[in-house]
Amino acid sequence: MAEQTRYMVMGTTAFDAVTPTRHAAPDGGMSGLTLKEMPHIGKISLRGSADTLDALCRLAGLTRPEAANSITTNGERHALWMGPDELMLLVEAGAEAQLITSMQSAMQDAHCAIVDVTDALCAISLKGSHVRDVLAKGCPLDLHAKIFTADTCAQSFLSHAGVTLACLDTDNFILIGRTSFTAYITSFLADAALEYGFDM
Amino acid sequence: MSRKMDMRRLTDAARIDSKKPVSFRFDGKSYQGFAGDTLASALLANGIHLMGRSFKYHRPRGIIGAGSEEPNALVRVGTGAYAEPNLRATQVEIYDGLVAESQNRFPSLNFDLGAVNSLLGRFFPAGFYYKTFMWPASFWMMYEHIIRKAAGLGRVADDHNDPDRYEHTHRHCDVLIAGGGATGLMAALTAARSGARIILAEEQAECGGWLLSTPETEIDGKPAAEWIADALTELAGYKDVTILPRTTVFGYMDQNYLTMVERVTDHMSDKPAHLPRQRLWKIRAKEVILATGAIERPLVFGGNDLPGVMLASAARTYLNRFGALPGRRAIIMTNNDDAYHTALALQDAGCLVRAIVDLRSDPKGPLITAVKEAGITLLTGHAVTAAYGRTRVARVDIAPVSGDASEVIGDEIHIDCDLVLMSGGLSPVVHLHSQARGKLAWDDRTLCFRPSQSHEAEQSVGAANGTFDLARGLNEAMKAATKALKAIGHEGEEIDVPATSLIKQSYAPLAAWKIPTGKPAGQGPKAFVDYQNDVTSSDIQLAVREGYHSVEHVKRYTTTGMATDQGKTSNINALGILADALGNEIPSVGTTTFRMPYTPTSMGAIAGRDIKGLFDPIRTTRMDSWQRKNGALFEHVGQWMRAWYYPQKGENFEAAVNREVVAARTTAGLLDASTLGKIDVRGKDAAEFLNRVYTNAFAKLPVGRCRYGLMLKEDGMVMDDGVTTRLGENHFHMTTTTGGAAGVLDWLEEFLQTEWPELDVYLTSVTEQWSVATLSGPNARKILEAAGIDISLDDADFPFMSMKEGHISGLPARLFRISFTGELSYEINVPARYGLALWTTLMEAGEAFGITPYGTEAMHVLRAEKGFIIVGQETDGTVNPLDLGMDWIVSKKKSDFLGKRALERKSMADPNRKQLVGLRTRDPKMVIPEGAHAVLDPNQPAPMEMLGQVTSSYYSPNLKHSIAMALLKGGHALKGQTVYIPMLNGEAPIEATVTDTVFYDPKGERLNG
Repeated sequence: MAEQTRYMVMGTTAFDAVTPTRHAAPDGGMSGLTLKEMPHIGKISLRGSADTLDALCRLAGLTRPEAANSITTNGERHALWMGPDELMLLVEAGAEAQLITSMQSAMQDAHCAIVDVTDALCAISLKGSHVRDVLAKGCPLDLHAKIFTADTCAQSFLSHAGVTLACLDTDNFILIGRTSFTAYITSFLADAALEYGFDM
Repeated sequence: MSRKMDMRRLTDAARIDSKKPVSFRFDGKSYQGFAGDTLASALLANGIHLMGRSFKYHRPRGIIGAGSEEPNALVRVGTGAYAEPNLRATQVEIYDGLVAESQNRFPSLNFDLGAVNSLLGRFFPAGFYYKTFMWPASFWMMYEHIIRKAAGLGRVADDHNDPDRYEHTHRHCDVLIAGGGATGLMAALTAARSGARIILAEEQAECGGWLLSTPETEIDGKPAAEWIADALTELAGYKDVTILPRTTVFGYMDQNYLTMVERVTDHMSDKPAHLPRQRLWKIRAKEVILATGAIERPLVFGGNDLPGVMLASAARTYLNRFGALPGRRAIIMTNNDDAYHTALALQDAGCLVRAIVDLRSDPKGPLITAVKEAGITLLTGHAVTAAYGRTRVARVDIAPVSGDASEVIGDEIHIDCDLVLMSGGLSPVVHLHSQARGKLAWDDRTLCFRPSQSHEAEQSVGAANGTFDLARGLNEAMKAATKALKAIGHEGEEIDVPATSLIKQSYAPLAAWKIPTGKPAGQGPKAFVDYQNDVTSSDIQLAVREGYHSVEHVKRYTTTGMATDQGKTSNINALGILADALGNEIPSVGTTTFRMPYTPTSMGAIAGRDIKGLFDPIRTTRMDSWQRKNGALFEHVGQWMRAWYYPQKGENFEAAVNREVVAARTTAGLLDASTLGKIDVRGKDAAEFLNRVYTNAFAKLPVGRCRYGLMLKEDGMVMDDGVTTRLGENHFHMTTTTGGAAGVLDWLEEFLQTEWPELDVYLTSVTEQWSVATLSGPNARKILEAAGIDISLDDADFPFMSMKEGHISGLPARLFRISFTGELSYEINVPARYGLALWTTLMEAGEAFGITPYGTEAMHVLRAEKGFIIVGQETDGTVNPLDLGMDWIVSKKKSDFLGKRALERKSMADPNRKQLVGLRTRDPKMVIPEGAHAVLDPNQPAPMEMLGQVTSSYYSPNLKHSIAMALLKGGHALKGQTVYIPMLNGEAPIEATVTDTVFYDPKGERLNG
């Protein structure tokens, strides 16, 4: 009954289709990768001119990331550069609806797109000393800590799934994928972390 | 250990650990080696030279080389599902419990029945396959069966499910260095000291390369081993330096993208389960330094394939690196100085060097003096003209030769021996340089192809560049690394190159590609050029006589260089013999192409983790869990898994589908339609944009209304379809087919960005933002009301082809009143998190009405009853709207839309095109197989004139007869006529009448419930 109440009120997350797995680090130490869902965190896709995106970011309490593949952060909120006229905002769970409404009313005439993609995408927190090694098994980008630094993001692949990677800190990433790929993404990561230990 | 074995082992050798004995099995017998041994060195130390039988003649074969160039000593390693054939014994590291066996022998290595091929040798000339089995053609199957059994190379594991784990990984670096010998390490030290990101891949178990075989060398005033250890210690201290032993760079692709395979656990006795057996590295390097060394060439003389005949450099490696003495009475034939080192080393180790046979008539230099001083017999201007023995060389013929070594000029002498060493000059390993489209130039002095011009950002250094002198090689490596660093904007500092000590030698061999024999052609033992494919010098000469002059033709005709070793030891000798036969020079003959992989690479490593559950993603909807719990069976639709049908207890496929189809028309059915593609379209030009991409008009679609649209490619053929709804003046919600979603978005985005940049439109994929349940059937309205809805469902308020937003049982929802079944129908979209809640809510509310979940199969039947097409089923990229009888959806008023120009071509309306029609079988129970072809006259002789094919075919439980759609030539004019569908299984042709495509409720009265 409790279960039924939860999904009637809160809805499900993509992780409801995921069977949690874990395996110990072979050396008995800390897991090289810890994976956690960031359930329901708000995701807003923004398209528009630099000025428009500037204004939209301000409404969210963020500054617009200007450099390609960069991230700006304010508290729990992040703005990810996705393309020359495209950003993705990550905001705390539940905050997206009101934010979108205020953005839309502020942007009556400007040419822009403000689209709620919270439920379309899943956000996964990846932390651990081997997070980059594990990602490198499926991602062709240069993930070296000097190159893919904190506040860098990029759209790429994790093996057969299209993903967005956002680096918050040396050993701390957010991976964003389409919800229907969640089971594939988590099983790929769990498998790839076999030699380092995996927790979720 | 027996005394006998002690005499073959010099246990103070540097690179084996004599305190760690290792036992292994070869051909069922147990042997002992030491940690650090390869299978080849351990077998040699046990006195085993015979390691396999050859490919074509089943001749006994031993070890030729000491590394990845080995053509002969191929073994099968492992048992059961773990077995792997064709591994080079020279690269297999032994470990406790290793099981290896020789190949191509029956019943045993020492006595092999296939060796009869050798006696028939003169009947297996070059081009044997092409000549012998041309006639009669029908016999080829039989010939092939027999030949494949006798020839062929190795045997794969009997159990084809490879249980090993293989992984892939990606890395980027500033400098990738292929080869960890002296020059590779020098380049690494140079680059590392400036802080560059370096990957160094060494093919062997440890770095050091040729230095490991020449421990007497001093670098920087230290013994070579110490210099290597110091270099590795220094490199290990740099965070961004990765040294990978047991790693072969096997492929070099565009833009410095290289692939390499690391043998992670192959050498381990206890293989940890968390590590892959092999790891495929995909490297993107800014700069590449190739320090891949050189391979010594054999000399081509009769009997040069007998076990006990090997490369002089290999003998030095076995002796100095592994402490394995390959023989006790050695003959050394050479055309250069290098073998003199080997002679001295062998004599030091207590081997009797019976003679150095130098093809050159007057060699000079400190090495020659040293050999003379050591009292070794030196026969200059002589050649080993033939070697004899059964499974091991026992005797050689030696004769004086002319100054250019082209003919025998005196009488033979015979010398007994158990080891014959060949030194035919060095071939730089230019494979990777060539794979990267680098050019080669022939060096007349050192007689080898050297890299000339690079195509990619790569440099070859040291022996790989034809710079065989150590001191010069080190300097070259340092300079190359500095240059590479500068090229990528690093502070590339030159560093001091250490001094080296070695006896000076010349690297200019005498060109002697085929060792002359005093005997008439065809007599005496065969002289092999390509050991692995059993190609002799006579085969190449014969090919030339038969008119094959191009090097590429000769290669394919004789198969030289085409074995798994890709001719590493044979190619230059083959070119030399070819050039001589053509009366030409090697540079004008040219060389064949070097292709990846450098060495054979396991399929497992190439597949990586793309196996089983990780082979391809499986996408599931948010209602999937309910469907699984309630017994749905699923089908793949692209990467999606969609509920196919929901069998109840005792129901088969037909019964379940029929029940679902009937329920949707008599009460209500519920379908998970979440996988439909959805695109959010906004901007002031959104309506204009849609007007251009759909064949019908969208500009005047009122807000809140839906319209079905057809999209064409520029060629006028149907590409996709779906319903698009106007959510606001400048805001639309487009739907696409499930399979077409990603392609349509890309297609539209391309037009926006490249063709119509003036349009203010943004597209966003929202496919997965919404979960969609389609409620269809006469009770749909009642069920929504039972669930609790805050929208008036009244026809006047909420007519067909319109959209309303509201709440169902409190869940925020968009309801689209559209129908793919022809019934009263609502496509209900909720934010995906509420998908499961919506589904269960509707199932509960509908229980009293007999709501029935239906799958994709029932959906197909329901839409076919109404004659609705499915893009990709009724269309295949060659079908236009007129063919489908959908002229009504093609606007005559719009000035343009994608595909309009093509559609206006007269031929697009040709009445003889294949057109979509319905078929009704005479026997109402007979369901025509989909894909079957229809004919007008079933009695015409074959090949019959085909009218076209059946695209959809089902049994309609609502109509109580089968229904089908077909694309038939001139189909629209055939309505009312009878066609026949001949059956493959010999049954009578199915008789059917051509009809309209709408079978059910042609007036559309049921849309309102």
